[in-house]
Amino acid sequence: MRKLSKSALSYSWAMSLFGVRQIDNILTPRCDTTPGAEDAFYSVTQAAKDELSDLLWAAFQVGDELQRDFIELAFDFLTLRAFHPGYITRLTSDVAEQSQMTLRAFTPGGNCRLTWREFMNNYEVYNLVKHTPVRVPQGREFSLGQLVEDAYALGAYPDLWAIEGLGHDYAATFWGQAEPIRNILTNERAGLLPDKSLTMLHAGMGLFFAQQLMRTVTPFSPACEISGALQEFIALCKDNSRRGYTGAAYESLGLVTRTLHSQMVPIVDRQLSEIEPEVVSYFWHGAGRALYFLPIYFAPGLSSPWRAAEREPPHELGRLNMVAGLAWAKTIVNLRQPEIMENFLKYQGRQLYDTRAFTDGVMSSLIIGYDITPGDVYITRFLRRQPDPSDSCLVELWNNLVGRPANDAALCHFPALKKHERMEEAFHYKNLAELVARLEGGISPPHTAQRDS
Amino acid sequence: MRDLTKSVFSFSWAMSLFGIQQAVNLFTPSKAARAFDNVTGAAKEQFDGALKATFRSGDNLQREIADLIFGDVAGGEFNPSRLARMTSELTRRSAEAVGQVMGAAPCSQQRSTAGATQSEGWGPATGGAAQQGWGPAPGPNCAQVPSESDGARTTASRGKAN
Repeated sequence: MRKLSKSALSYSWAMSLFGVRQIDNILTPRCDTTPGAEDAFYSVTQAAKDELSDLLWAAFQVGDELQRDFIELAFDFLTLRAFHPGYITRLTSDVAEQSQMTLRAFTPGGNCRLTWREFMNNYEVYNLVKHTPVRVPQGREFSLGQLVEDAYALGAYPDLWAIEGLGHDYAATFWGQAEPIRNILTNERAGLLPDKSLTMLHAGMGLFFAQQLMRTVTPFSPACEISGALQEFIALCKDNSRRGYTGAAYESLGLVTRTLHSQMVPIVDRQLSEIEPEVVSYFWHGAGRALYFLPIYFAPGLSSPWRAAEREPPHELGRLNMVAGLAWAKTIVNLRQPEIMENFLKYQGRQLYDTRAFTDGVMSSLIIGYDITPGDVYITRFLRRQPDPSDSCLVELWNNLVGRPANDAALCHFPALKKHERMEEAFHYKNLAELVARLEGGISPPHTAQRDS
Repeated sequence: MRDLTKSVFSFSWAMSLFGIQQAVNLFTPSKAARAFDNVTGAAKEQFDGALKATFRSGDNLQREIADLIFGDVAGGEFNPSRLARMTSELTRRSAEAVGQVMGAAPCSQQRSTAGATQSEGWGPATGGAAQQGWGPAPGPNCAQVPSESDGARTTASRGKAN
């Protein structure tokens, strides 16, 4: 109690002085070298955010995203930008579209049931990641192969998330050791791991590295510091990944940055473009995957992540990958209920920013699913799905955007990627058919994410 | 201006939720104390020399008062002469603190630009949303994440990368 009282008093005193400092920061012209109020607010906000429980963290994320949009709007009004005809049209159409989507999602009946199902799927994934029973034991010897087996014993679907978690925890066991982290997924210990576990183990490993390194920088850090952290992340991924899987680890950088450090996204994009342009596509793919799980988009129908995927990236490559990443997550999370995807196509299929990117995301997620759980009953069912033939429009959409490409992905593209050690290609947007044709034709495009070995 | 406004609102929203979190944490006082310390550390990191000294003086003082209350008064060992000494010390230090605030130069010091929790390592530097995690971005709270050697590892690894 005494300790708590002291801490609480220190906190109050620190916050009072912090207020004084920030008033001073705002009112006084800044020296170029002195970080300003924004930096200070950011650091303390991060520290406070770090102490929040999941529920309050989610509340923070939702409130923060909303207030940022609201402030943008308010400033647009103040600067008269909002009175531009194009702006008004866009705003009105956004509001109308969103209202229509929300109404549809919550109208009693089939839509409402599917909305609820999708929400429950999201929640299930959240729990599978957060409370997976298969964890790397702390401080004692363990067999990674046995843990992977245990993860597979959880059954099709939970296994995917459990294996990603294992990759994360496994990488954590090497962090903080004196010697450099190298070959953790290529050494003898990992040599006996089943091939099917490798994609998500790499994704989990990348997740851990990204979490640790992104914590060391802020949007106000000097460019060289941010670049150093990113270079270290890239080096760690390269040094520890198997041939053809490095991209899976890279992709997690986008997931972590968009989920936990959203203000860093444009900065990381710029830096990556300079230091390793090949990683940019993976980064945006991961950011797209993150959108699907963000609290603000967690409940389907309330806010559309698809619009965010079209608007957040500053370039076409980013947009294509973000849409693909979002489609990737939507497919894999709702794999067991293809009717959710069908319903999505029915109402939003025609408004998709880029159907190629959407289809690429669907194909890639099925490739990963097939790789992790060969012969997965849910994937087989998904591939055989045929929408109600009375709705010809939907049948056409389904066949073109999901059905045919998904079958091609599982039956033709997946074996080719596996054979040519290119599973990482399922973690960013690309023309899969073209890539496979080149691979099979003996023209092997360079590995986008492989250190010369 | 736009970004500053957003930062201020984010800060206010985070602090409001932090208040709720701390109310919940009161059931586990050690956790609450640690959380206070972490946020205090982050704020302290933003102070320059004079403000840092002011904080230290005030903080030491309030700690002594807390000790006095919990040790002497609550413990039944009330000592009037010690209380008088404390009061006079308090007055002196308050005057000193005010003097330091008035004399603080805004651009005189450079501070670390990295996040306070990262650069200072106050409390569990591993804390954070990264640790808490969300959905597919789980926290390493169940994994072995060393807290103190992060900086060392980062540097070592960076050297290797280059």
